[in-house]
Amino acid sequence: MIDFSVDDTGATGALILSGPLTIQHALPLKEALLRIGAEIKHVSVNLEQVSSLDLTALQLLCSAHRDWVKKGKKITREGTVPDIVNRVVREAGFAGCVGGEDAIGLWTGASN
Amino acid sequence: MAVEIDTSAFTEEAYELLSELEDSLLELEERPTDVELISRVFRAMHTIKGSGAMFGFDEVAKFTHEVETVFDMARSGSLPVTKALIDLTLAARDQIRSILDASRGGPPANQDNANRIIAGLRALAPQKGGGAAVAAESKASAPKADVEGPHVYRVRFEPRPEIFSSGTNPLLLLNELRDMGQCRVVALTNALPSLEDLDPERCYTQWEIFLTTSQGENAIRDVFIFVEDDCTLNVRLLDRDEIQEEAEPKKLGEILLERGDITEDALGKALTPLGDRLVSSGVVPADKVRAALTEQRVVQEQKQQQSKAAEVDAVVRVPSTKLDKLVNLVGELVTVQARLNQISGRLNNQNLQLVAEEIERLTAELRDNTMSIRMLAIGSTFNKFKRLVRDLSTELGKQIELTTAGADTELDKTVIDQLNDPLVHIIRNSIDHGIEKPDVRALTGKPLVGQIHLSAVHSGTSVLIQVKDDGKGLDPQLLRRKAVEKGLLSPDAVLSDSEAFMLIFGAGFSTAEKITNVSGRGVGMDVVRKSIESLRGTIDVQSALGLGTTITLKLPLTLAIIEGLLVGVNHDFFVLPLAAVEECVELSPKDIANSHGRRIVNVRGEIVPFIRIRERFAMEGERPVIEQIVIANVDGRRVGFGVDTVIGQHQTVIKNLGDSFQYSDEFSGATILGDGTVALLLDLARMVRYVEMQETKETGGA
Repeated sequence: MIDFSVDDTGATGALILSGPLTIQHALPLKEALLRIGAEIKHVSVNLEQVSSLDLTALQLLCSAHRDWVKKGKKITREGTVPDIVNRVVREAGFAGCVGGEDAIGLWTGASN
Repeated sequence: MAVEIDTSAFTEEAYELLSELEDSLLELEERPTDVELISRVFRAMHTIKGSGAMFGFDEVAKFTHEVETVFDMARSGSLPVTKALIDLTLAARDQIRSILDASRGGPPANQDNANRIIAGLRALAPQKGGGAAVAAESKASAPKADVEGPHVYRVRFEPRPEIFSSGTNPLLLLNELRDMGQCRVVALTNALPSLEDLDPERCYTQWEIFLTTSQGENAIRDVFIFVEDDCTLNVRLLDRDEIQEEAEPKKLGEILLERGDITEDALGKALTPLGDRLVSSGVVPADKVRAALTEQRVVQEQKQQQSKAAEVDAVVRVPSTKLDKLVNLVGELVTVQARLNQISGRLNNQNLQLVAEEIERLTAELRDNTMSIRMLAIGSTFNKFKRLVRDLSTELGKQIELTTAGADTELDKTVIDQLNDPLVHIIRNSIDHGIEKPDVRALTGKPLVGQIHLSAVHSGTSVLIQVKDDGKGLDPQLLRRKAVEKGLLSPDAVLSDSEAFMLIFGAGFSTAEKITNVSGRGVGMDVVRKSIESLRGTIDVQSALGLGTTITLKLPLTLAIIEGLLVGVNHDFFVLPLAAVEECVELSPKDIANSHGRRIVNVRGEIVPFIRIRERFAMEGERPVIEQIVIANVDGRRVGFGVDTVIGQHQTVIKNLGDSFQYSDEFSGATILGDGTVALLLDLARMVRYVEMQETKETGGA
């Protein structure tokens, strides 16, 4: 499930991803990520309930992450990164992808 | 002509591997998803199987192959690591040990047991019409492409963007490569467009994979066989020379240049930190630098592995009997050297004295070197107890965690060999009587999981080995009551708490209400005391009711040569272990008169009892007017030993005494002095106990 909400100020968006994030869910995921428009200065990402993910989700998250960093958005993580996510990131060779800029602790495999 | 093969090298190695296997399995139980641990278990089994077959241990090879086949599924991720799998693999490990023991003259291994283990393991395997098992089996028995050891390959995998539409999951291909060896995967994501332009159903990622494997290039290409039309694949064997040469591994810039990722000009412009400069100047994308760094690291690691293997090759295995003989010879040499010193001193020949001194220096060096060869880390003994704790706690329905410290502490091989049984008894006792069941612990507010901490630390010329539990502790009142009931203690005897704790080491003493399989017969702890004493060690018990018990064993570093204090009684000589000696005082006729017939000496206001060696061993001859009392620490108490003369420090090479000697229990051996005279080495603790027992008997237990 993909849940995106924006607070009253319109500047902070909370993206809560849960359940499977596989190719079947790639399009809705892209749409949700695109909703994080220019007006949102702070993105909070919660991956705690993600049960599985594949390369399509990794590519989308990686691309979105780069865009956000480029646009100077503040990115933070809510909750822990589940083991399954860390494992797929590691297995796909995405670990270490953005080095020190990994505020959501996804690409450096920083869980908990 | 039949060639006789020496199989001892295999069995020695196999025993070591089995011990490693056991440790890895116990660790794996705690961290069941640790891929490296799973691989370690697999490697140990694989080596046992391979060497077993090579040395003609077909039963070992066949059985291990069956186990390995199932464990390979765990390695490939198709079988989860569960308690049942660990239990069965541990049982399999025991079975392999039985087969090896049988080959060395032990009882034959139980074939029914082997069949049960195999059936159990097969039942755990995923049932895909036997397909999984067959696939794993063929993989396990796949011939190695390279007998020279593993190579490092750089695999560049560039899938076509449409690869998802054929139902291919590239990550599964990467995982297949992982099964072939050690694998580092770097995703190249520079082709990833911005989110807006990204088609979520296209693949934009390419990979560089650094694979260290014994298999050949064809085996790597086989992984991609079904997607060869959907990808570009480049497999390159990294030059062996790159790994083996003595020089430093290639620099990052050299790798990028060689791979054609940058030009020489661009490299020249960029200065340190190279990676950052190259990326920020836009010469090369960050992930390409990352891939090059990974290559550098993999090559470096492989090089380290090889030098590690070379170190292993430099080790020579020597049967311990040869080592024992060497120690004996060094002992003889020390004795002869002492004699040479004595003679050279007497002859007063300067040249001879120079030679004697030189020989003394060389002998000391040779002695220290020989002793150090016999020193082994206690860690291997510690590791055995993890299994004991695991199995016993399960059997007794308790939850216990064993932690260890000081596994690197070194002790003489003989001490380590003889330490196993006492430690087994102490730990069994802690598990059975010390640690409470989880429901009882919950009631007393303790964590459900009980702790046993096993530690070793050097303390001067001794090693302290401690077994500490957080169980219910010892009740000194109960111990006193039981000892009185069993007639081991007179009802009016006054004992301090620490003396009461020592009662647990009495023969036939047990406070257990029930005799279990584990303990309660009152035999084990008695054995502990005897074993530790035979190692010239001491035991100390500290306990707090409800909080736990700590048993500390103090053991000498070595049993072969010790520093002693040489003393004389009449025309005979005795040696006291110097480590126990605290001071020497004189006993004058006035002191004797003041003690009114009791054997006590006043040392700066402290009354110390003493044993006169002359009386103890019914030796003839007159006592000197002024006697010497050597005060020693015996089981935490100060006790004196009355002798005629104190001669001085003596390097004591211990020789065993036969059982046929009178009082032989009170001597832990003998040594030969420089002039050929024999001196007896006193076992102070036993001597004190025998004297106390005799006095108790004489005074009717009062």
